[in-house]
Amino acid sequence: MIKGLYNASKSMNDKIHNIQIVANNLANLSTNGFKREIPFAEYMERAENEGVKQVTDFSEGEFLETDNPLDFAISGKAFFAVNTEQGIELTKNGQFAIDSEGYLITKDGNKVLGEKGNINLDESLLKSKGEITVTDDGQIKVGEFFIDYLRLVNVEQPEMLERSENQTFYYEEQDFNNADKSQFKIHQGFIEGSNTNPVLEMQAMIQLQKDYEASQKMITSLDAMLGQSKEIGKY
Amino acid sequence: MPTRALKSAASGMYAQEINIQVISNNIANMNTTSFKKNRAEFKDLIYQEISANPQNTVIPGSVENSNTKIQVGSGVKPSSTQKVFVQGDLQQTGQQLDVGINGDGFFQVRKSDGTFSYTRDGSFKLSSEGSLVTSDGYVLEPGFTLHEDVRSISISRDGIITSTEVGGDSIELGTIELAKFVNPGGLQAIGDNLYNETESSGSPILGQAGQEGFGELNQGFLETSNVDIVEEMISMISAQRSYEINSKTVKTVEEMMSIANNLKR
Repeated sequence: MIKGLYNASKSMNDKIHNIQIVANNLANLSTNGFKREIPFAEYMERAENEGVKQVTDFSEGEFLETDNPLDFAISGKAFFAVNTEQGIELTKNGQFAIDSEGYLITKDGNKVLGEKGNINLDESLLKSKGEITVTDDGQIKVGEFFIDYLRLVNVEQPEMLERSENQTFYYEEQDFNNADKSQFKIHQGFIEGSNTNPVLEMQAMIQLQKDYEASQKMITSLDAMLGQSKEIGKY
Repeated sequence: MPTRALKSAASGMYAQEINIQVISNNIANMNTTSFKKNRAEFKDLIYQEISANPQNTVIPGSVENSNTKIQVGSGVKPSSTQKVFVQGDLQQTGQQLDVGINGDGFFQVRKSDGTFSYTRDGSFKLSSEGSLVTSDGYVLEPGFTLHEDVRSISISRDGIITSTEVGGDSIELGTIELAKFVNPGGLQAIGDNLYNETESSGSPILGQAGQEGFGELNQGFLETSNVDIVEEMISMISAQRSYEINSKTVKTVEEMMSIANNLKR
């Protein structure tokens, strides 16, 4: 019976973690490039059996048109590679800008990587004064002047990625493969919205609350039973 | 206690509040000449590692396995607002000093302190010195001066200004230069329909109107606001619903806390 108490309290604790994940998913309903985490028992199983730290749902969010030439969305299994202090980080959030030195950067000021390294748009811009265009396969051009390819990275096991703030993902091993150009398509002037589905989260929230309540009922009844057993042998 | 969930929900509600503020500003500027709509942007906050099995640390003799740790995020925060420089409709006004830009360029104006700002609002007036100024008195640069004998002026699509004298002669006064930016989204809006260059917008590239990428000028037209009321209403609905669903998280967590409190009668 004591074991039962442990199980029920473990269940309550799990539900609290899960509600935190649901709360985070819902808070990020309007965060571009955000990937929801799967908050269910399914995920607890995977976490224990395969040694996976968390399960992120990498399905695609909606594409929103912005018409900004420095906004990009990726359809397909690939990430943008960003050069940070910790090493290369990956993101699906393609809202970029150009810094004072002409480097293509994310909104946090980290440099976006091309296949030849950091992407510098400064000199060529002064020469041609053209528009920045990025083709489907990530070729960056200013006017007719070729700059570089955006470095798009494919991750074999995306579930091994750790989450970092600002919609970026981190992988300790750092051994990234460049994605095959047939596997993705880049859409210039679009951004990818959050893939949080409010209906799924709502459903999860209701279920979590009910499960939590059930576990609590189990604890109170086990408590009552233990109380009863104490009475055995009394006159 | 799941206070992290409460804080995440609160951060979500705050983010939607900001979202509504941005949307309401867009709607308020529905009729502002050459107004460009804003869009709020958000980013997720740090993820913390917590033990997926909190009982491990409770059961004596159990070893904590790092593989059972999960990452839980701590909510959202507003990161920036982005101007959306989509072309607004050009509306005919019939005023000869109204100039609408059809394209990506900006007029360059000099403020009273000598610094330059950029605007797409082409509702110019004549100053007492005979130069073209905006409604706030900022001087169009590079400008020109009109003298008293001018009967009318015409501005061609590529920015060449010609004046017709009282006597009937036509004189070319100069050209209007436009400025364009690599990343107009990075411009800083300073009010009065004016923008300042920033590091992320890049330096202005000056060129004659009509050149590729600068846009053509339309005399007698003004650019209207690019706010699309239907789109704003939809954003407002989704912001309100997001706010509501985050408040549901608060309510659910509150109920769960109350359930936990009822463990002991």
